[in-house]
Amino acid sequence: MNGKSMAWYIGFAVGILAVVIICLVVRAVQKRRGVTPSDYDERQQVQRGAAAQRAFVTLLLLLCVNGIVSGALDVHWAQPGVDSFLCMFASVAVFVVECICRDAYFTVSQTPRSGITIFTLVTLCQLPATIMHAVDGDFVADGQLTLAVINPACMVVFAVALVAILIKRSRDKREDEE
Amino acid sequence: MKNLKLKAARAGRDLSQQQLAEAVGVSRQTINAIEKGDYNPTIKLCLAICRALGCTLDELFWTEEE
Repeated sequence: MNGKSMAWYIGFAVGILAVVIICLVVRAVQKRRGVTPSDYDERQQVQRGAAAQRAFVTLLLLLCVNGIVSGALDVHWAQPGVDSFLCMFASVAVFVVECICRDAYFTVSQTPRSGITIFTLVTLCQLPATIMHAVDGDFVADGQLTLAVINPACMVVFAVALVAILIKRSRDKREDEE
Repeated sequence: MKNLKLKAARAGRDLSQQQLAEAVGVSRQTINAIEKGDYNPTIKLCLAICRALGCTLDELFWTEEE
């Protein structure tokens, strides 16, 4: 393992740790305010279940296609692990966008504003690393996508979710006015 | 099928969808979906809506067979 990939793995571990800590802090604040994860109403729970089902099917389909492409056709388009990560990102994007479109992403007590702030921050956080990798030309090595594409992929997922929230918000406003 | 009875009862008490939603502990979109007929609420939510509007289940949710 060279120094650069070591730094990448350390950064990856620190990133995951940061997300876990942020989630725990958010959860503690929510608990103090009396908000629980079950604050989704019955319609939202049904919609989230349907969204999870679609995301799961999406993940299965993508993994199948990837398995056929890399296993049977012997076309290795991404480094080991990276392909699985990208399939997972696509699946998560399906779940999040589906939930947002069906008003099941935010709990009854949450407002889309908090989501807009968090998604904008995460999208912007990925930007420096994405630019750095693009400048260094790290995205492709030996004709395969490398771990460096995780940053832009993550950015795309959050940006898509952000756009979905903004579109939904403007639709809701129009509906309210009617 | 649209639930016009619910919409009329809510409007009759001068309540917005948001106010009714807060009274029964659901999102405004859920009340909107029930009124539009896009979502069939459970009996638990039906009862909560009936209590909030001071109506009976029959008055708000019973439909005659066509």
